[in-house]
Amino acid sequence: MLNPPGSSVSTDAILLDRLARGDRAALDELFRRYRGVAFRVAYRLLDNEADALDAVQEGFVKVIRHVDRFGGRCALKTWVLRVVSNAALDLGRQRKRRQARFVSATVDCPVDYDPADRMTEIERSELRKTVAEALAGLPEAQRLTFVLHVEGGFSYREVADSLGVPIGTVMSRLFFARKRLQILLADRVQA
Amino acid sequence: MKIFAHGSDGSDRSYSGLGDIVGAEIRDLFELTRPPEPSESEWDRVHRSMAESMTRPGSPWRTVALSVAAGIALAVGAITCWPAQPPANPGPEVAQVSRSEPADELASFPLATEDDVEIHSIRGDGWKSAVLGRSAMTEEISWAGPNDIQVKSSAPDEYYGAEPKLSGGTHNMPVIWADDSLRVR
Repeated sequence: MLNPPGSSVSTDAILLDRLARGDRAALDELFRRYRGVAFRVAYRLLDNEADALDAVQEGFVKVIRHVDRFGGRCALKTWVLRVVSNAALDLGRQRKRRQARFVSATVDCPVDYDPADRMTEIERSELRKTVAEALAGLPEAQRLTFVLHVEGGFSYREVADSLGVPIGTVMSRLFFARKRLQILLADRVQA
Repeated sequence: MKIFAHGSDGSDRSYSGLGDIVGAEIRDLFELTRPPEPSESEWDRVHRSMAESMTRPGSPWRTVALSVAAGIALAVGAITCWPAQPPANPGPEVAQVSRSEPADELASFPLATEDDVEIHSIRGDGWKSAVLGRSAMTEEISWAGPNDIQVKSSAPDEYYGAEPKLSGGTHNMPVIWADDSLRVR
């Protein structure tokens, strides 16, 4: 028996079936289910909130348009994040000339932050900028692998499935990404 | 001694012997700098834009469908006409060289789990690592000669930023190397 539209317990298969039948509520549910993790991945790849939201929007539109191409060989989340991360990389290439490294403290502060934590938030914003610059120093393949694993919460196997590379390549990329980040963030982490 | 393994079931549980490749310190740093979630109003705006682009008259939906149909028609036409076309001159064969990650003597490439290997004794003094198993290269390796390689372009290495240089090498063998003095440190 199918779950009612909007049910949070719908499985990926049921959700896909509903999407294929043009169920508008399924689109809403897919969006709610994966928008957060998709945003985090896109943000890490683009280092800009507005660009990340654009990438999420573009990615989800592509997912819906091409939902019939999802072969079910991996989890729906794996596929969604692959499409969103590709959209983010495309967007990043298109906007390469734009110097959007500045992270606004206003944007980064939670709306209802405690004034007592203001300094912490400013420091956090600075740290976020430092981390973003270090991440940007990684080769694209390493960066994407790292972001899918750390921000996307993917296992090595899921990253491998998502990128279509052997699992050993994923582990190797993560290893070199860590070594590189240890150099780039030397004052923050120990080698 | 730590021996690491690829698991056959593909789950990270099989890699528990490897520990955390990324490391807790870097994970903590990324956790600390995780971007705040967009507000509901921002999500609503994205969702509306998404829905509009899906339902807009003359939206790319239709363009995509028409493009696919046209593509299929062209493909069918091309396949139908294909046998009548003379075979194209393949020209000189150019090897595709894939980029690989730089080797690192510290990298651990999983081969077996700790439970799979039992070491009774190791001869010799001063060893730092033990190589277990056989070489994957069981056949004779044929190297390319200078006339077998055509360099069309080169670019600095992505990882180290070193410039590739080309030489005729010795014994008629081509040598390509990266200038280590340019390495990014």
